Amino acid sequence: MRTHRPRPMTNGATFPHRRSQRHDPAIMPAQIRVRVLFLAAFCLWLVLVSRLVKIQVIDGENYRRIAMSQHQTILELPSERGAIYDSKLNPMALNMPATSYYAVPEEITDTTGVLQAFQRWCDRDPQDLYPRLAKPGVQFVWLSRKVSPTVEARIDSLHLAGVYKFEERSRRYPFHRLASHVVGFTGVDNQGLSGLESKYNDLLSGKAGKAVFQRDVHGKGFFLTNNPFYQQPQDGSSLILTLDTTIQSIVETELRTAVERTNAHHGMVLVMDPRTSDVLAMANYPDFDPHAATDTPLEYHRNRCVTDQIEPGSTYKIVAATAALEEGLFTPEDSLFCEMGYITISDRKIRDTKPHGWLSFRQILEKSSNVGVIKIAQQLQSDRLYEYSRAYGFGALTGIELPSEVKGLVRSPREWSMFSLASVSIGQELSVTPLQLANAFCALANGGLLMEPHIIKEIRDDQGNVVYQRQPKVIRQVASFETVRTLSDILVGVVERGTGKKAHIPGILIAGKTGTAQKSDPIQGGYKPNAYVASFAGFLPADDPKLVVLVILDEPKGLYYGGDVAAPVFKTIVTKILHTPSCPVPVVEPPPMAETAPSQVPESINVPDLRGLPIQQATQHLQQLGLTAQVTGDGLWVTHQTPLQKRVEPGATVALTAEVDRVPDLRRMPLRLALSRLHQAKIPVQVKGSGLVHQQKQLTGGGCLLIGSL
Amino acid sequence: MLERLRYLDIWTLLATLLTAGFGIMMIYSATQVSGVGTHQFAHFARLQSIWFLVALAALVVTLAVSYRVYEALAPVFYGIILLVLVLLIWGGLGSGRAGRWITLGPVRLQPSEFAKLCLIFALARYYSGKNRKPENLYRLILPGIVTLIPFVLVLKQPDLGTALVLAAIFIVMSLWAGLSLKDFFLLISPALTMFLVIFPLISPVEIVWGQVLLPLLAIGIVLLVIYYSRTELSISLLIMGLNILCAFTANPIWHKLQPYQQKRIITFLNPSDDPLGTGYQITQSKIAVGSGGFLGKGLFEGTQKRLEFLPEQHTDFIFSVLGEELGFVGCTILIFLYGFILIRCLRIAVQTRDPFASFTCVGITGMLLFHIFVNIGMTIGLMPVTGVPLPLMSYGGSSLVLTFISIGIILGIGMRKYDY
Repeated sequence: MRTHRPRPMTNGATFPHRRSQRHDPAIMPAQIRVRVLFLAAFCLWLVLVSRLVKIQVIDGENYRRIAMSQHQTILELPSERGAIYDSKLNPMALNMPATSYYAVPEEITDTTGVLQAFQRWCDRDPQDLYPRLAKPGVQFVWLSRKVSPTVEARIDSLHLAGVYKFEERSRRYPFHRLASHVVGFTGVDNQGLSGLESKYNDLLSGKAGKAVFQRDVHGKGFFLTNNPFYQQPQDGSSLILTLDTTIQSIVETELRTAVERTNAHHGMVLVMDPRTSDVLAMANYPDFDPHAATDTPLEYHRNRCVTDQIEPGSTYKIVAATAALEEGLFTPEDSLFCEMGYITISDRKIRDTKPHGWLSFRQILEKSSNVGVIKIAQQLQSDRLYEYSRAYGFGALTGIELPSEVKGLVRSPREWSMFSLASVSIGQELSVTPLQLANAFCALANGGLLMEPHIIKEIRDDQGNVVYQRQPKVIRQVASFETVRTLSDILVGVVERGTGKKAHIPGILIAGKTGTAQKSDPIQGGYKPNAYVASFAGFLPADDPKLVVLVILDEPKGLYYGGDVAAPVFKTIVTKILHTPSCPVPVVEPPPMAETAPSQVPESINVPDLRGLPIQQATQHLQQLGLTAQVTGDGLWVTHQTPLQKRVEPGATVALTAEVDRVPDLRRMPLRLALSRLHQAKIPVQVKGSGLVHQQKQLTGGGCLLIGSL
Repeated sequence: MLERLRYLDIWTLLATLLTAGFGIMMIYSATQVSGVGTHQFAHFARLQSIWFLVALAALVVTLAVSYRVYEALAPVFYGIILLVLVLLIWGGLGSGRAGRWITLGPVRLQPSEFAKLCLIFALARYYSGKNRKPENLYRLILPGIVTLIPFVLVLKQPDLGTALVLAAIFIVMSLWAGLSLKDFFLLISPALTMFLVIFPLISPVEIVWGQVLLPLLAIGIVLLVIYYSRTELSISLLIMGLNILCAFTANPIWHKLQPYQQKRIITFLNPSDDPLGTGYQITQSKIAVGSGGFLGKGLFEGTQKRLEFLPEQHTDFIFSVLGEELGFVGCTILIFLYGFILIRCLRIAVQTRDPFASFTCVGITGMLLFHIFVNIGMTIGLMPVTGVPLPLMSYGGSSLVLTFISIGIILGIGMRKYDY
């Protein structure tokens, strides 16, 4: 039996564990051993599971992405670019198969042969090509993109090792330079770079599809169709333009001849349909070949009809004239003293071509007297002149479907100087685009209704379904139908007797206005000496306009008056258009002079169509014509009229009915006149068709639907 | 014999068969790669099925044999396996060149697989003897030598993975014999010191004075442990001497390692060091397992597997295929199956009264645990690439048969736990 020996307090006890160490064997007790082993195993388990949680659950998405990027390649399946057609569905831009060549440098055995072949047939500079081929590690070098079939045959016959073919689609423009400014061009990867090709690039190019390729570790690829990422490519939509390639090619040929003959810097022509403001032709010269656009200076790529702003000059006088007539300040026969060749406004002289003396309103425009127009404008005053400028759409974007349109500059009267009223009235101190000017003439030709101009008529998707159709849209009524008819009549005089005589074509009534603007000098300020913009804008037939043509020549050498330079171009263009089989204007015999000379008193009077006019205005109008009005009803405007569209003896009675809150019966009235009348009466209106009103339907909500028939 | 079948742990047996079946399915999936024709898909799975039957037969035979036989024959087994390993190094056996394999007719055997079992029997026999408890480190010298001989021979093959398994078996069985945790620490301290000497050489970040400071730190810790635990002077000196020796020899030993072994250790520590070489395997395996996510890509649907981004995907990296196709859920199920089997094995080790049987059970359990942890750890970037197969899952006859025999031995012991 062991006895316990007390331990001295001073010694030991510093290591409390010492005792157990001595008395127990230095082994783990069995109980603890089991626990330690279980615990160790459990810890290892925990380590494994927590690691799995980390990489599978927490980082799983990340690893999934890494795995994808390792074995998955998303390949783009190209979509077919949509075509561009003219209004008669002639293709203006389409796709053709084209062969491109590339090299795998490692496989080339005869480098000199390759360099020579591509220098000879594809114009590829060996100085440029050689370093690319010689660069180590390069697997792919383009040799030549989209070669012609003849070149293809030549290169194929050489059987060059390491040279491979690649089938691509190449954008072709069957009409070459025709309307190249409108259509634009594409780059080597078929991306639109200018014109409609650029503006509607997304629509035309469609949506590329996606195919998924899986690569195994050896780089071998597998194509998966039943993959959620697989997407069928969607081909692009096609554009159908309002352009008519027949008219466009006439216009371009004549414009080119004119620019070359007059040595002008450049020229522009616009042909539009005033009824809808559709652009039938839009030409600029110098032009470019869309297949090799980069070979021509960038300046030539501009569609100046919408991107350039010019001082319009005398063509702009229609604005002051419209305002003066509409506001009732003048009748065509009112006379004004046009001084003796110039007028002084705050120390500056504005000259006419010659001293005119007394001229009637009509003659002022026929002779394009600056002094006369300025005097008219002085009666109008700034605000009204400005108001009509804006009403005609100047200083605002037309909204045409073309890129880079500018809105021009029409300053408000607050910014005007003493001199501005005079300047603006004769088309100076402001800038407009040719399209704005042409569209203003469209409004004039269209009974005073300013329409939204369009160049795209339809958009069809890849299945041929029409997804967009342009609807003729009235922007506003610039002036009343009567004012506009009077002004047209005056403009007919411009061509018959005035400055625009060189635009006269026997057998067809043409209204037009010449313009000769001095070019301002952006560097020196003021105007450049001997630099003019000659223009002529006109429409025909004046009594039922179907074409508006604007011709502008920039800096012609020698003769520079619009009437001398631009009017003859207008004439040739119109003559040629009239001779095309698809011409929208019926060629008629020259109308008897009696009808076009308003000064002559007619033996019988043509009763004007007064339906839709305010009662007061209608009766006044009849009185002026020497007819008697007999009004029944308390309505605000004329709803019925007898006799209608007949000739009567002077002094006859015309019965007018004015029913309360009734939409006037406008059947058999020209549609655009009807539109104008309802617009004035503030009756909401919808239109179908064109020509004369054939049917008229009441719409719920007080509106009215007019159906026209040609 | 039939009476004993009452005590057969049927659940462990079923779990084992289930896991092996799971393994055959994954091998079938792992060999479905895009580059190979369909007829070849089933080739390895079919072979493994045959091995499955062979292994099952071996298991049944093992059940019939009493552990007393192993106890009696342990020295003989040990002697034979040493001879085979020596001969293998000497010049190869059968038709194969020097290396890991013996070819016997159509069958190729890996003796190092059997070396593990032989070592377990030898150590179990040693520790079950009287007065063999490792009260101090001197008591570990004899079992240490018993382990060291096959360890060196296997390392020479070279088969680092199996050599480490042998070391693990030694440590687990010594702990079961009662080795204290302090002695355990002192025992492995030279290895730690060696590691700390090498670490600055292969570290991705430069450690200033690392070659000097880290070993000093390690030796300092060892000194503290020795001082506070009042270890005998001679042992203290021995351990200190070993530590210092390791600190000085680590460098030359590192430079003597095979380049591929060096690379494996480097890339384990820093896989991005060599993403296309050795690190490639770890990186790809992690990508495959990680991309499986929670539910996996679906059985047979693994893309990394099918496109052959995974290395050794039907053998060492079978777990990566499982991880990719069955996700976290599948991985967890497998890990729980293993856990179930191993816990049942440990239970038998605790229940049996016979010391030899208990040590054998623990040795085998430790071996399986080490295999599983090292293999799975390797596929998910926790362990270096050592070429240790995943028991019951990886393709390979030797491994499957050996695993079945091992579990058969434990089940046999379990059947005879009341036999005293």
